Formats: sequence, C-alpha cells, structure tokens
Amino acid sequence: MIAYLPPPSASAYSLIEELREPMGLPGIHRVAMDDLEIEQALLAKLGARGWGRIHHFRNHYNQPWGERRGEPLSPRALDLLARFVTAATFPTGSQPSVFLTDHGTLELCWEDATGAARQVEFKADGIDYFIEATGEEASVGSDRLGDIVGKLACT
Amino acid sequence: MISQLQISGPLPVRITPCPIIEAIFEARFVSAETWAILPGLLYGQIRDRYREQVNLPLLQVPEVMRMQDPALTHLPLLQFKGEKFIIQLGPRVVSLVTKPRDYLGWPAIREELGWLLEKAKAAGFVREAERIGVRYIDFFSGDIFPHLKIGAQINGLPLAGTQVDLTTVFRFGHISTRLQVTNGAIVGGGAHGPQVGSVLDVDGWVGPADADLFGQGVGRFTELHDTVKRLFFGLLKPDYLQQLNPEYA
Repeated sequence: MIAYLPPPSASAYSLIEELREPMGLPGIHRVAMDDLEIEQALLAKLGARGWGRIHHFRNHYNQPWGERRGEPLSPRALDLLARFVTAATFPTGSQPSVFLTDHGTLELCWEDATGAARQVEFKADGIDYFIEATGEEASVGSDRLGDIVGKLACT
Repeated sequence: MISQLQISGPLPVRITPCPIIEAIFEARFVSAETWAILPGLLYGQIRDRYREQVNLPLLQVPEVMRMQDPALTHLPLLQFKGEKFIIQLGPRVVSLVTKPRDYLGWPAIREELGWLLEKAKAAGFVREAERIGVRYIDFFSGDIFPHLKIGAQINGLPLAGTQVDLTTVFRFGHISTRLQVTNGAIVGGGAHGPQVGSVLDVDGWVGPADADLFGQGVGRFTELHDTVKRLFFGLLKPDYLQQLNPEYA
C-alpha cells in the first residue's frame, strides 16, 4: 500500500529504449500494485495530511528511529489500519488523526458525533480501542476487525 | 474475465526449451537491527553453502539516500553465491534466486527455501514479515503477444507490429499477482549474448496478514509458486503450449 516511485528495472532484463518510462514528475506518485482501493480510502477519509503521514511512516520509519530507539512500523499494524479505514465510516466533518507509537504500532483518533474521543491502536497481533463516551476500553484479536469497525466507526 | 486465464487439470512439469531466465523467492521484513550487522548475522548461518559475497551496485549509494527513496527500500544490496542458488540480502529483504538461465525445478527450490528459512530464523534479524513473494521471469524470442490470451487492442483489433509493454494486477483470493508482458525486452547472458525478444514477468505475493514467514513460510511459497505457474500456463494459447513440448507427470 501507499504510493511508490517507479521501481528500478528488474535485473534480469531491461526494456528497449522506446518502452522505458520517461523521467517521473515531482508530485506524481504511482500507486503500489493492487492498492488502489486502499489508497483511495485513506485519502478520502484521512485527508491529504493523514494520507501523507501514513506515507511518511511507512517509508521512513522502517528501522529503529529517534533518540529513544523507537521500534520500526509494524507491517501488520499498517495493514490492519488500512483495512479498518477502508471499511469505516466516520462522522461528517470528523477527520481522524494518525500517530506512530514508540512500539511501532499505529493509533487512530477521532471524535464521534457528540465530540467524545474514540481511539484505536493497531498492533502486530491485535487491536486496542477506547470509547470515551462509555468509558469502554478493550483489546481484541485482529480477526475481530470487522466487529471493531461496526462498533466504533459505522455511523 | 479472470476465469478465462484459469485452466483446470494438470499442468506441465516441464516445457522445452525452458523459458525461465530467473526466479526469485522473496521475503520482505522489518528488523530491529541496523543494516550494518545484518550481513554478518546471515552469513554466519549460511556460509557452509554460500561462501562468495558480492556487493551489488546499490550498496554504493549512501544509506541516507537509499532510505529517502521508497523505490530503493526493498532492493537487495548483497549477494551470497552458492553452488546452485544465490541468496540476496537488503535492509528489508532476503531472497533466494535461481542462477541465470539455470532453473533447477521446484522440488530443489522448495528444499533450499526450507533450509534458508531455518537459517534466517536462527540469524534472528526478522522482526516481522511484510510480504512473501514469488516472481518468475520468462523470455521468448520474437513477439509473444499473438500467442497469449491477453494483449492490447485498438478499436477491438489486436495491436500488432508495434512495441507493447503491458502491466496489470490479478487477485486470486488473498494472493495478488502483477503481470508484466513486453515484446521489447533485452536480456543479457546466455550462450548467444544479449537477446531482444519478449518477457513474461509474473510476481505473486501475500501481504502482512498472511506472511507468517517462520510458521508457514514454505507453504506460502508453495502456494504462490502454484498460483504463478497456473497463471503462466493460463496465459498461453493452447496451440502455442503444444509447440513448447509440454511434459506432464
């Protein structure tokens, strides 16, 4: 997922000159293969800022980072977040914020229709969530993703 | 539409001449270790079979630049050459690669993959797998498009006599495949030096949710191999397949 620049030529062969891609243009990104639906969902629901932050986390936080040696972004956490956002419906006017934690997990935070906070943390092995309006807080396995979407982001 | 590319029944175990110029079996991962120590961790495990180390050109690019460019993130920087295969390693990728134009067959590859996964697990640098992939690159002299079920058209008629490079994605359940076909490829090596012709490049992969590398890695590679193989033979028109002298088990 997330846009990539065109990859370098495969080592086993090269295209003849006429078929080679022209120089890429700044600001134009190619969507990674098979990720068009996810890219569209992330951009539409998180906005350019949220999409940009995920793009940044994925591409620049894949090794230990920062003074406190934060853990690299978990690919499974990113996959879970992308699937969650794709399936979710957020309140009109509410655009979730996304954060990378020191543990390499991703947090998504937004406000429900009453202005109360909802938080979901996506981890390699599951999902934690918090609903401020009810005080409910729990951890579930990643196989419960559909239930969590229904519970938290299905307005 | 994709069902038109799927063929039922047994697949050939061999076609002649073998068009495979390279096959790559790749695992992408994240690591809590820095790149500087990864080669040593892996080499310590594989040196009995892979003694020769070769630096790839990308290693000359400063790390700070490589890390800024997402297109370079998953490319290997080193090769370890063995008698039968090559192992490639980068900061986020390890792969088993066949030697150019020397395809030893799936049973030999599967056995080596099992061995490599044990060694990679013992090396301890894979924190979490991101993607498991299988890629086969096949070369054909001449224009392959008339012999394929897929191609480009103008006003409903095949685009013939011109250079075409076609890339698309198919999904088979949880497996994604990227198919690239071109009739304008140059391949090096071989007995006759560089050749111009067609390349059929199929890359199949599973994402993080299905990439349990050390739990079911060999099973995933097998599943991907079977999918890529079925797609390859599904793309060929039946009369062309017969020209390739198929042998069945």
